[in-house]
Amino acid sequence: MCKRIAVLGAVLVIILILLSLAAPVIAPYAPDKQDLSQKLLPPSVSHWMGTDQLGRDVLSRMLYGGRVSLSVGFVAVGISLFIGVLMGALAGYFGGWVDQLIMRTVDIVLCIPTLFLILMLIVFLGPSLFNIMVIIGLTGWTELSRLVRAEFLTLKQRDYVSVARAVGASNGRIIFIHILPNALAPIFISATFGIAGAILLESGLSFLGLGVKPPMASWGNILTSSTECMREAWWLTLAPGMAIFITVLGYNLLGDGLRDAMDPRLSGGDNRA
Amino acid sequence: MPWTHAYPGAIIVPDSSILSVKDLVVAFPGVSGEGVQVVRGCSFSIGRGKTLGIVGESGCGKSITALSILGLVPIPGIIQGSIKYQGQELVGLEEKECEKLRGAEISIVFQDPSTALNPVFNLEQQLVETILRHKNIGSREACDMAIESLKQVDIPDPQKRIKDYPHQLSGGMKQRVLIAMALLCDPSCLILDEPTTALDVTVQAQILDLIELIQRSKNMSIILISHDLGIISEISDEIAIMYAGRIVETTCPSEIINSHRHPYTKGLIESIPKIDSKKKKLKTISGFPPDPQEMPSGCPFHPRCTRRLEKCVKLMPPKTLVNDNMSYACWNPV
Amino acid sequence: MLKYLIRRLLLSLPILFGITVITFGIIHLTPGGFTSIQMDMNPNVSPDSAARLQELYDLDKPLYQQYVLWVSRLLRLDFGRSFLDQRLVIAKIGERLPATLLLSGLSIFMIFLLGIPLGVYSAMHHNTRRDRVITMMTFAGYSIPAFWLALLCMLLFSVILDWLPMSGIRDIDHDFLSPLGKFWDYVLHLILPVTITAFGGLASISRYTRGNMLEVVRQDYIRTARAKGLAKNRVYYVHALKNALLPIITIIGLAIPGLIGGSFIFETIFAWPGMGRLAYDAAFGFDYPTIMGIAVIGAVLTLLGNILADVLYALNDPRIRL
Repeated sequence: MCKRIAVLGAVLVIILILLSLAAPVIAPYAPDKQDLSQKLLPPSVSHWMGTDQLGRDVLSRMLYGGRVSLSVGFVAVGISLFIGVLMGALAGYFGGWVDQLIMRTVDIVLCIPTLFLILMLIVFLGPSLFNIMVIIGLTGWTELSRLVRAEFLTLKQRDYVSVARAVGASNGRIIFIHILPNALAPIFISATFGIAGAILLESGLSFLGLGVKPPMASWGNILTSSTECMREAWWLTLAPGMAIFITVLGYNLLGDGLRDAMDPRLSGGDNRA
Repeated sequence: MPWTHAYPGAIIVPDSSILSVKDLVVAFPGVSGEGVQVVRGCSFSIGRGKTLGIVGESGCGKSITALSILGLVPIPGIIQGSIKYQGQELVGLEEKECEKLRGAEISIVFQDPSTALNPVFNLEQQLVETILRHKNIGSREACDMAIESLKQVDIPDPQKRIKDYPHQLSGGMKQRVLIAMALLCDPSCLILDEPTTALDVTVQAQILDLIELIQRSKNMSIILISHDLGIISEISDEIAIMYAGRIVETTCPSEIINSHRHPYTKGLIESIPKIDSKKKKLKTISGFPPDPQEMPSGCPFHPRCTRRLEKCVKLMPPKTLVNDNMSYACWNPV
Repeated sequence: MLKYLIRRLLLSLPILFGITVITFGIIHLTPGGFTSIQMDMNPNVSPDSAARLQELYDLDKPLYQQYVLWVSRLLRLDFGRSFLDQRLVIAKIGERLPATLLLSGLSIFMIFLLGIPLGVYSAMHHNTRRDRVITMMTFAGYSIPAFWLALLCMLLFSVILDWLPMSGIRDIDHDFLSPLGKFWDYVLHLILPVTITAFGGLASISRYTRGNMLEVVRQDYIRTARAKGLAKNRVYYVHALKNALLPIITIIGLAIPGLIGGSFIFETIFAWPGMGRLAYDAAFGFDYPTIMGIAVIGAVLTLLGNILADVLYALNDPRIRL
């Protein structure tokens, strides 16, 4: 069961990555090519997903929008990973006041509603693809740092760490060469869920006009523009919503499948009736 | 049906055995193929008011046997064979009927008292719910009964301690509470699954005394499961030696030291440390119990056996009766 | 108990301090934030209000003095006046807060009321068809973009079927309705927003409950409970659930910032007159006093939520001594 789910997730993720990478090759039209004589066409052979109110081909825009989602997902999570792993590793490895300082900071950041923080930052810094990626990345590391800290707390007790220390390995070497590789599995799983969250967040923000600015296509803003003509062309709301849904589902399924695979306890025998 | 006189002064009953297990097989279907048999044709029976000790190394299927009596084998385990309690077949019994027996007719005390009590309920809640489940009495009365039961197992100041949560008790205390809990509804059969293994030696002795006391005061059948032959021979009427999911020898405490027949029993006896024999190096049984997934052919003990014959490798030895209470399964007995 | 509460409150003081520093820092140091007003670059701020801002936030003084003065005003609950309509920020927040609390409160209630039993049920039927169906539903639940779902539901229930009002908290003719009619009017307006905001959380809570239950069910004390002859439902819903609930209580605390802060997306979609929408409008109007006020109040509410969760946890776990 869990294996099949993970495979399904992986397949979805890979297909979506390939589609976005290949967007310039397979997109039938330029994503921002307007043709007002062709506006709001229903799906047809020449426009698989129809056209929007400016006569742009929705399929092409969707493919390019996929690149946005993908880059937001990876870059934002990359930033979160960098900060979160570093903070968690330092806190867990050194303990003491370093741990206190970092963990209290995490507590504080967790208290400020993330979305509100993002809203403030976006308004001040201005909405753009770059800002969105950085802001989502900067606000998403707290949970990860707690996870990494917990991993480090257990792993640093292991014998091989004592051995490394006994032979005089430096702290940096112990953290990055001896402990971190052993903590990669949960980090990787968390990152997979993180990508799903980041994509969902970006599309939500773009939907509200706080994310990627038109004319650059993002699934969120394609959805926004489709709402303007929901009564005449309801089908336009389906493609972007479904795309976000399937992408996020793919990453979530993959993450869950990996977690099950790495935590065999969940499939063992138990005392149930 | 013949009337048996078990021993002078005993209550005379038409059938001396209260619980009989016959050809019990417990299998866990694996991901691939047939799965693993943990218990492989285990048979024994226990008389009313008697104590049966089951001995064996860890992993020989003792605990699973105990769990299968109560229908508590972990999912996805499958039970085959027959378990008869007072004539009633328990294998395949509906869950609802099983629930009525558990705790009321057949009780069990598990190995590790530190995890066997629910940490978020106090003793009163955990004791009273058992009574209310099986007896048709008010909660006030049930509470009195619960306090009385704690008194029985020598918990000091039971009126006060009953409001305690498990984390406030020591390991020995918890085991006493668990024993009290098992005795609440006066079951006819009590299963003790390694009741002292997780405890300190001094506490072990106290718990064993308590068990003997209960055994004497209530006419209860007890199945005592342990890896410790010393404990078993101290308080059992009959002893069953279990190896690789089967009973390989049945005997009684007075006979076991001098007239055991199975080489495995011999090994177990020789590996008991004795305080007075300082010089001798302790004998052990070489090797490990077989992995249920890779059972050896023939007699499962043959790879470790010092008295191995050629046919031991090929053929499973049948059960050989010595008398009513004694039997063994070996081609080349001691 | 009281001692525990006091200790917990004292422990949260440094966090409160940190929150004010971060809020202050973001507004004062972010490019495009506070400082750019001084440079007169921002078209949203008139020279008049820039002058007032200068006065109100003592912008001519050094940064640390500005901070101290701002915090001392915060302590008196003086958040200043909104740039947009000159009203007191505290009054503006005060009138918006109930709507947000109503929406988030009902949504949290829904999440726990439905999510927990769903999770328990799923765990009870682990690896059966029913469990799989629920699992797939929960995955869909937390993968579906809620704003899209909101859109589809509005399209279906408000536009096509015309069963429910599309947005807002009450009808135009609300004031003319009977008391019962008013109540019903609120209910109708709440159905869609509550359902949509609860949807994602419902999925995660039921999944989380399921995971916890599966963990708890393997414990020895569950075997003991079953060995006592307790009925399956009692074993699951009393013995296992009480243990599985403990970590879930903490989740309530963690869910609060999401519901307060995240509410701006839904409040914008449903034109819900709550804090989130106020924040959205304030941010776009560069209404700094309001933004800072909401940030601080939102954080304080979150902090209180966390304390509440901790207290609930302590009350439910006898191993924690109060």
